[in-house]
Amino acid sequence: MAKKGVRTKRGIKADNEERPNAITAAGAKVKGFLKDGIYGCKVAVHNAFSRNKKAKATSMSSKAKKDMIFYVLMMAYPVLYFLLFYVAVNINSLSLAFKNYDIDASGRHYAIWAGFNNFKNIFNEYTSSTLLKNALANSFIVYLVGLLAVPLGLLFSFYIVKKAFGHEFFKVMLFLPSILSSLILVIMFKYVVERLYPAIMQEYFGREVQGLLADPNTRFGTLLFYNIVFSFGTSVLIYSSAMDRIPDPILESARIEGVSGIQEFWYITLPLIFPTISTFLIVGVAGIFTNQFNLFSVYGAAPPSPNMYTLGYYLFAETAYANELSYPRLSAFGILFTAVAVPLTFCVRFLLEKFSTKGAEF
Amino acid sequence: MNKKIISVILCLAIGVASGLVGCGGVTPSSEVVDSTKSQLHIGVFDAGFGTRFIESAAAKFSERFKDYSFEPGKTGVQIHIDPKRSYSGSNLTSAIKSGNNEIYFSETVDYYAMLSQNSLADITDAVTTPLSEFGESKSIEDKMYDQGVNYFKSGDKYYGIPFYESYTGIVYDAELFDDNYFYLGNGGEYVNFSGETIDGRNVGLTAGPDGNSDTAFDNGFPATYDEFFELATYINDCSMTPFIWTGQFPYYANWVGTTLWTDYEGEDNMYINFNVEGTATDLIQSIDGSGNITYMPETAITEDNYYLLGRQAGRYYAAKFLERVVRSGFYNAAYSFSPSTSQLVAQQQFLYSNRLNNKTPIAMLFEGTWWENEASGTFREMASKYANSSKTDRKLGFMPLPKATSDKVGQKQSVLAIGEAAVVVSATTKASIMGLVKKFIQFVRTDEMLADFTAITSVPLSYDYELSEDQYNNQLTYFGRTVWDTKRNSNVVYPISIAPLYLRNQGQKLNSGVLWDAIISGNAVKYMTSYYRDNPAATAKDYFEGVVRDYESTFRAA
Repeated sequence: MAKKGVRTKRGIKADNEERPNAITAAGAKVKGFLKDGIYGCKVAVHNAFSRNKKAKATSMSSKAKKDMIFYVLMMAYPVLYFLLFYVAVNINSLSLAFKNYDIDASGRHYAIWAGFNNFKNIFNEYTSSTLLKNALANSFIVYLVGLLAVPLGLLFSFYIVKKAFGHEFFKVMLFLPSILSSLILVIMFKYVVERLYPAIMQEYFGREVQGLLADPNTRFGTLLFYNIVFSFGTSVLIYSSAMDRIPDPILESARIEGVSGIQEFWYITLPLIFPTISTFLIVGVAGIFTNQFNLFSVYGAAPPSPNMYTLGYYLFAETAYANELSYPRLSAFGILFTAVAVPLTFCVRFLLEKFSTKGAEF
Repeated sequence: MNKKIISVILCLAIGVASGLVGCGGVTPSSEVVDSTKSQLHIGVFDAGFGTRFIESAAAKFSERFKDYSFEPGKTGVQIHIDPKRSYSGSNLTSAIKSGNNEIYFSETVDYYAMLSQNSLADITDAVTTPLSEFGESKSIEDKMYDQGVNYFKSGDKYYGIPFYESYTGIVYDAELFDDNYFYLGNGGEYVNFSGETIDGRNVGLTAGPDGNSDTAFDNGFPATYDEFFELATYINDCSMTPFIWTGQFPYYANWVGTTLWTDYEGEDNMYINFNVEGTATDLIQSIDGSGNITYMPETAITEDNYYLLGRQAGRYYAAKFLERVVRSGFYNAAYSFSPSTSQLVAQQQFLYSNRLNNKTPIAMLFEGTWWENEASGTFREMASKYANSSKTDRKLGFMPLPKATSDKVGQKQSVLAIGEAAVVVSATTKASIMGLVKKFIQFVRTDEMLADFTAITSVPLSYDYELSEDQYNNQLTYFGRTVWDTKRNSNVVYPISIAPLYLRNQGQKLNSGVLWDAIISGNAVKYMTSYYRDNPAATAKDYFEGVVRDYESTFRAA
């Protein structure tokens, strides 16, 4: 039997249930017919109204003219900005990926068509380079460890929303890093782990140790720690805002039913804010290839070992110190990252949306 | 409506602000433009050398030409200095066309990339005309070295000229050396700067790496790596720290390797790396487990076999030197690998260590010759707290480098002038002030101004000029004198050329600040000291073979 869709407020929902009898089916048909009819009327009225408006627009009043000038003035700059720094830049990047530059006899640069050579070279580079493989692995490690931080962020947010002991303090402390310049944060963090920590170990434990970012055995873990802790603020703020928006009656009725705190978190809060969580997860996937892991903030252009690189840092560092001749290769790199990131992001979004339909919206 | 007005104002404010951010070299808002004078805007790469040298030149030029009319209806000139960190390398390549400055004093300049974009103005007549107006018979071109002429002369025209020349290596605390008898005396004894032993016998200083007692600049310094590390051990035994370098920028330690490599190779072999032609005489075929080296026969280098230059023996010995530095443990462990130790912090530690009682004195700092000017703030701060601690009072020197092997003792020192620094003029310069721009270019290349630059920064420019005895003795700091001695007693290699292979890799693999990329276990490794520290079993042979691999990977296909 063919499956039919039923129009709901949120779109078409698949209906797998078989109709119990023909009367019900006929009733549904009639209902659908009426609904479509009413919808058609609405569209006709709307169109007529719009036509009327259009006719009026031909003799624009001075107020409308002023509004239009205001609108154009307001929109001109962002539109121009978008066209120049997004559309044009990306078109240029795309064309660069298929070019190469060389030097003529007078030392000047000239462009030549390279076809897919830049892409081919990158594949060769990837297969022969441990650095890129490590960077790819590190990029996923950073993302996955970031995922581990999601439950922590949720728990902190729940704690704050429930107005538990010291919630205001935690709210301020967790969000504070987000309003400070990342440079200041990095400098403070570096001094704590590079100066204070060795001094404490020396003073109180008599042990001479290196700074945590200098020690090859601890530097990657320390950076992971930094990335998790100092990215907490934004996620906690957004999660707690989402939790705050859960209607009180739902929570009150849950309490009347005798739901415990953990049950409330698991069965009510989590499903209701799932769209927010999924947004974070999707954005995180899109950022796998661009996340520079704060390597530049901490080590600048010279991380002590390539084993720490992420793909985001690699591309950033290569581009920052590149000359015109190396732009085509880097453009091809960027396009390849996009080619992988886009389907991956859509795939994750699809999975999360499929999963999130089990949750509710408010 | 009010909301609308506010929105429009905000929008315009953002627009104007963004526009200003995008523009380089506008007249600083604090400066009042004197419309009766011609306006000249100068962009300066704001790093180690600061802006004092250009401020001095600008003041002298303005004074000299205060009654001169460069444009109709205007008399004199007002000069605006625009210092920015972004005025170098590819940033400048991108920014020069949209910038408002007419002249740029910059480094890591990709001259031919700018020429390709038609971003530079023709200044040929300013470069080739004798500076007779300033009482000199030579032109700027006459003062330039051959390598500079070949590089900057595109066809028959000049669009830029050389700027400073910086060397990298080891800075030593001469006061500490003198007080603690760290100089080498004849008979294998440690002596002070006068050649006296601790018990007062005057045995005289050794002849140093060049093996010649008549050249005083290197007398008393270790002649070989072995002597150098014996000295380091002695310093360490005296409860002092032999070395410190910046942990945040590990390439500073690589730069010591670059200078040692250059010195080992000598001028001819080193120039092959940039000119991509010549006969390489000391390419290593292989190194066995005991460190015995087998050399390749002399090989003529072309683009096709350029990759063989990764095998230059000087690289291996330099890598060996840094391996010994790390393995000896004679460095400041808390700072030399810490990412919180910038070059400024390392400079502070080095300078303060010989003034604070609770600090272990540090004898040597791995740095570039620009460091003294960069540490001006620290010098000022110290001068206000301690006696004899200003820049002019402190005795700090640029060390003549030891030779890798005893058979090299006696060979004239060679150093690499890193930085690829240049002065260029923007193609957007208005024709009406082109005369002024050229005059200024000529003025800053007069002998007087060349010496002025050196006196202010302690660093020479890439030109052939002399300092008078008075300028040398009374205007230069102790450090400045040792740097000048280095220029005068060395073959200086300028890492610029118009060889296509060089130009293709100029900002990248053949940037004089890089040159030590290696592929080890499939990984790209860049910093020798970090590599040795992270891999306790690693040797110079491993690093050297990594460089060979990287050169083959990069240049063999080319």
